Amino acid sequence: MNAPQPQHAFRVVGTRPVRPDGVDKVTGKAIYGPDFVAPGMLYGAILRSPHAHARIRSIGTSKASALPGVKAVATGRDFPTIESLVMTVGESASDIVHVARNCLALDKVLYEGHAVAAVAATSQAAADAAIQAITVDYDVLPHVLGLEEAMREGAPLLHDDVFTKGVSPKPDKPSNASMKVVIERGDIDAALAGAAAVASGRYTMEPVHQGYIEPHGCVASWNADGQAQIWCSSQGAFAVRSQVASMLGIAQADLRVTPLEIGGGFGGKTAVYLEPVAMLLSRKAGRPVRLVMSRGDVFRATGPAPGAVIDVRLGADADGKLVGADIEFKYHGGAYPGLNAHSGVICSIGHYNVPNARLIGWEVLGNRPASKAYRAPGAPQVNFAVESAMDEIALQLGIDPIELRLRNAVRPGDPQPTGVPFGAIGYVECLEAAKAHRHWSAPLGPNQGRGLAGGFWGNYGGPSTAQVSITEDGSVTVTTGSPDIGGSRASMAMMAAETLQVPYEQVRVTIADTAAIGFSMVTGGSRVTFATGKAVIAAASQVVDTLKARAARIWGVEPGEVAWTDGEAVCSSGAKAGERMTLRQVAARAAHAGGPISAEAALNAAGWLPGFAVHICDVEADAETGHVRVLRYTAVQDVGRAIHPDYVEGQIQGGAVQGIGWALNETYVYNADGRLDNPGFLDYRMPVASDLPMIEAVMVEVPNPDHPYGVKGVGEVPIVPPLAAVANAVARAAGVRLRDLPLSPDRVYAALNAR
Amino acid sequence: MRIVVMPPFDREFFGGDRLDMDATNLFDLVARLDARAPGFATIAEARAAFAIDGVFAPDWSLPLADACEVIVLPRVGGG
Repeated sequence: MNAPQPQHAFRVVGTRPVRPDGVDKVTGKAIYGPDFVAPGMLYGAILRSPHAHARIRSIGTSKASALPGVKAVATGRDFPTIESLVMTVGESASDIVHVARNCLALDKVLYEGHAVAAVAATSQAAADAAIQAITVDYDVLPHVLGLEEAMREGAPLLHDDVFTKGVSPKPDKPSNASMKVVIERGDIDAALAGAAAVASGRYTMEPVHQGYIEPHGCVASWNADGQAQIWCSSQGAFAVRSQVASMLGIAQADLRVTPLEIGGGFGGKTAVYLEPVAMLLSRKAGRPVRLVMSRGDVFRATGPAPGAVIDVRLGADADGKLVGADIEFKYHGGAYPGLNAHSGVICSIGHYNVPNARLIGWEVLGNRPASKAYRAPGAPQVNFAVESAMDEIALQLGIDPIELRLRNAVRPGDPQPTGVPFGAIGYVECLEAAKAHRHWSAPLGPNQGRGLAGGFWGNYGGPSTAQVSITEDGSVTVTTGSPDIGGSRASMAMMAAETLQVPYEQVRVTIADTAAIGFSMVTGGSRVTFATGKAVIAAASQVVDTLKARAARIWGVEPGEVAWTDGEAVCSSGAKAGERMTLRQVAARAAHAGGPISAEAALNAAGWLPGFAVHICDVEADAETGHVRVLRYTAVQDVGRAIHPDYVEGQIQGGAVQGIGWALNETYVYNADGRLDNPGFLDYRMPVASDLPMIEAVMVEVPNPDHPYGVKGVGEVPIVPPLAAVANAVARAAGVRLRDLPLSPDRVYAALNAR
Repeated sequence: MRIVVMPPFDREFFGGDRLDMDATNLFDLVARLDARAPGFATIAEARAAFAIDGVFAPDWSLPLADACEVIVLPRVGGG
C-alpha cells in the first residue's frame, strides 16, 4: 500500500479554508453567462425545428427582418464555407463542419430542437416575435431513435458522408453506426464455457442530461475591424475561441473570450451552441448580441450522456476469479459523430484482471441531440452492466461482493485494457476501506437491500498555463485560464501558498480571458487540480527562486547563500548569516533589485493517474408503490491527496447524487413523432436534497508520485459506480434484478408483483 | 521498435494492430504512420495519444532511440 505522506508535512494542503468566490456567489454578485450585459446590446432568439428529421427546402426571413426592432437575421448559410477539420472539441474530437451545422442547420434538421435560424432585436420580446415570423418549408423525413433500429438495413440515414470508423475494410456505404471499437484477448468462448459461474443479461437506458442549473448563455461583439469578443459560461474559454474562430474563419488572436462564472457543466459545457450564432448576428447588426437558452432548449438541443444497450456475459471460476468478459454495447451518438466509444470499452472491465475478453463498443447516430460528455463519459453505462453481473456472480458463488472484487482487482503494474500498465492506483485500498467501514456490516430491515459497486476512470493531464506574481505589498496573485467549476480558485491558491510557504489568505486567484494568458485545455477530464495545479506550482517555484535571488542582491551575497524558509528569505552564510527578509520586504524593494517579481509556467502535464471508487448503497423498496428510497450511501474513493478536502468530498457527493438520479429517476422520454416529452425539471426528475440521505464521502489517499502534492483527478469517477450500486441494492431488497434504467416506481412495482 | 495500434485506429487506418518501424520521436512516428496510412497525421493531434514503454507521452519530441514499444491509442474524453 502506498502510504500517504503524513499530514503535518504540509502547511496548507489538506486544510479546509473558506472559498474565495463564496461571497459573490451567495450574494448574487457573481456574473454568470445569462447575466452579462454589454452597452448597446441586442437580444437574440433562435428558431428551432419542430421535426426530428427533415430536409429544409427554404427559409423565409423577409417578414422577420422587416419587423420593428429587428437588426439581424442569420441562418446556416451565413457561416463561411469551411472544410472538414477534425479538431479537439473539449476533450474529444469532432469535425468542425458538424459543430457548425449543429449550431445552425444547413440543409437538414436532425432532431427536434435543432437550430434553424436566429434573430437579434432591440428587445427580447421583439426577437421572440421575429422568430415566429420566419417561415421554414420542411420536407419531413422518417426518423430513427432506437440504437438497434438505427443500425438496421434501410433505417433512415442521418448523413450520407458518415462511414463506420474502426472496421476493416473501410465500408463503401454510409451508416448510422459511426464507430466500432473492438478489443479482444484470449479465447472468450472457451473461457465462458468452462466457467463455474456466468452472469449474462441485456441492460438498457435512455440518454440522461447533465442537469446543470445555469442554461447556456453568451454575449458576442464582432467589430467592423474584424476583432471580436465573447463573454460566456463554459468549461474552457480557449476551446470556445478555437471552435468559433475555426467555424467563422477568423484568427484566434482576433477573438477574445472572457469566461464568466459557470453554474455547472459536468462535461456538457465543453461544446459551443450559441457563441458562433451570436457572432454572426453581431457582425450583421454591428452591435453586441446576447443569446440565452431556455430550459426547454437545453434539454432539446444540448448534448446529453448517451443512452445504451449493453449485452454482457461475465464468467468466473469456482474461486471467484474472473475468467472471461464478453461485452457488446451500443451508445447513442445523437445527431453527429464525436462521442468516443473507446472510453466505454476501456472502463468496462478496466478495474479487473480478466484474462479472456471480447469488448465491442458501437457509437450509433439517431435523431436526437448530439451526445456530449457527462462526468466520466462512457463509463457509467457499461459499468452498470458489468457491476450488476459481478453482483450476480457473487450471489451464484456465495462469495462476499467485496471479497469477489478483491480477488480480481487491478493493482499497480497490472495492465490496463490498452496495454499501458497502471501506476500508483488505489482500487484495493478502496475495497479494503469499504470492507472496514461500519456501513458494510450494519443491519438491514425488512424490504431493504444493500448494493455495492466499484468503478474506474482514466482521468487526464494536458496543457495548462499559470502565472504567479508578487504585488508590491507582498501579497500574491495567481492567474490561470481554467474556469473554476469545482473550487479550483481555492485549490490553486492553496498549492501556490504551499509552495511559497505563505498563508492561503495571502493568495488571490483570477481566471483570465484568452488574451490575458496562454492556452489551457478545458476544465474537464478531472484535470485542473492536477495539470493546472502543476503549472501553478511550477510558476510559484520560479517565483521562490526569484525571491531568493532578489534577497541575495539586496544583501550583496550569492544566491546560493539564501534559503526560502517559512515564507521568508534567510541568509545562510557570510556576514549576513542568520538575517531574515520577509516576502513583503523583498517585494517592497523588488523594483530596485531587478524589477517586478512574476513567473509564468506553461506545460503539458503528464503523469496523471486513474481514479477508483467503491460505493455502498442501502435502499428500501415499497411493495405498494414501487418507490425506492435510498436510506444510506457511502462513497469510497482514491483521491491521491486531497488539496481541499471539502471540495473533494463535494465532488464525490455530487457525482454520487447524479448517479443515483440516473439510476432511479432520470431519462429522456421521446414520443412516436421523435419529440421530447419531458424537456423540463418538472418531468425530468433529478434528485433533490429531500430525496436523499447524507452522502458519506470516504477519502482514501494513495498519492500520485508524479504530482508535487500527490494529486489525482477526483471529479468524474464518483458517477461511475452509483448506477450499479443502487441497482444491486434494489435487486437484494426486491429479490428481482432490474436491468433497465431508471428503476422508476412503475418498473419496480411491476417487478415486485411479478415475483 | 514495436508499434501497438489500439482500436479503432487498427482497423480504421492500418488493417492490423502490430507494426514494426523506427522513428526518431513521436512527430517522426506520426509522419511515418501517415505515409503508411494517409490521413492518420490529420487526425492524430485531435484523436490520438501515445504511450512509450508503458508511459503516456504528451511530449511528442521525446527521443525514441531507446524505446522498445509505442502504443497508439485514442485520447479519452472527459467531462
